[in-house]
Amino acid sequence: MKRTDLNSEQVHELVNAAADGELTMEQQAEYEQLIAQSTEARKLQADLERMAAVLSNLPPPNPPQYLHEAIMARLPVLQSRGLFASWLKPVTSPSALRYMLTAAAGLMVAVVFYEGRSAVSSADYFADTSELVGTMAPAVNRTDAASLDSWSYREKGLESRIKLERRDDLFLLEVEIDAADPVEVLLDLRSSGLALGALVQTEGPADSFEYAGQRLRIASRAATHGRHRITAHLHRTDETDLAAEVKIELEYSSRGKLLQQGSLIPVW
Amino acid sequence: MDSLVRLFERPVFSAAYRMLGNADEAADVSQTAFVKLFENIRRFDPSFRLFSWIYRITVNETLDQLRRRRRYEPLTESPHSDSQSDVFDGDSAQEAVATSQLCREVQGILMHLHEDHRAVIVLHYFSACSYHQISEILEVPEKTVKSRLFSARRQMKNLLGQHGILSS
Repeated sequence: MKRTDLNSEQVHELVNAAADGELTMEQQAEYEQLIAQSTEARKLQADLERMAAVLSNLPPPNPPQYLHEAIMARLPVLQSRGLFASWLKPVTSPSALRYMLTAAAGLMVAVVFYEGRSAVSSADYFADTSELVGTMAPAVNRTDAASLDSWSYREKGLESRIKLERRDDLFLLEVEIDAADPVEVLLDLRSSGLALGALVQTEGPADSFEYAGQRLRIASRAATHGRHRITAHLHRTDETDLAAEVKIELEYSSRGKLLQQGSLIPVW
Repeated sequence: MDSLVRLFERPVFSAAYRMLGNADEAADVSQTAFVKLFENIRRFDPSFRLFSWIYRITVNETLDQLRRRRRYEPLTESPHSDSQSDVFDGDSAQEAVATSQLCREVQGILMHLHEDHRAVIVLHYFSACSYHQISEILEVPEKTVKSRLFSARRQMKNLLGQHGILSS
């Protein structure tokens, strides 16, 4: 379809979806063409960006100091410890609990739960972290984040983008995967001077996430088309030497087969 | 239980406050939301995301509160909005005043939106939810989420512009 064939409603839908990061691969190309050709689309994009900047810069409201105690005082006394324990059991049994991360100052807590499975390799130990998303750390205002490096990979049936940004002392890692087949992305932080702080957001069906030994493994288990995005906070480790070259090694694989390797080289 | 509450109490309060525009009501709703969460924990379906479920409870409680408000308020009364300035912080005294003023204005604008539109704006901009997550929380199709978000944005854009908040 020629871009001139899009009516105003379609233009709005495409530009809004782009602003929300909800474009499919097919729509992305259509959108880029639209933005290049349409003044209306560019104006709408600018308006949405301004609005997002205003709203995302607002500080969150502070709950009253009494709120936590008031909530705890009202919670029902559980008749048996088994009620709550049975809910937690699938995720806290010794074989399941794998890793717990605590951010500096105790302000952000990321808890990664692992399902115990009868796996033959560590690649099968996945964590479904989707229920923890957005509640562990507030979404970072991206409007004044500085881009440190990015990496793109595209082949038939797979498109991925990885970005590393910095805002003050906070580093934001964003991994996007749009794949027709299950795919794994491994990010090795051992030479980067960075470590995982907290998950901020995940989007997409059945993402899973593993972090051990400063290596992140993100697996898209869906065998259907769908975009997956994981956003995480990283923080600098004490050993970071700012003068040294640091890098994040990347590795893509699918069904055990290595597809591509690369690296992010952040420039401080 | 304590750590679960600590994990969710700020996001729950934030969503409730954005929906209601009143800190006291938001605190009440937050408490009720947690009570309902734990009372119904046995019914939680693990295939559903926990945070979506908590947000769903919270948003439903705020909608109930808004309905209760309408029953008892005169029709001519202006939308609720907190006059408390200590709900929002700024880095310095001057910034605190400016920030608080801006937050009150934006909150006032939010309260002009229909609650269905307000919910999608709150969940998208202040709770960082995707279309899919909002769809789960509000139990409406994604298409409806998009439609409400687009309409709400149009309205927000106009109101923000009228208040001189969205400059070109």
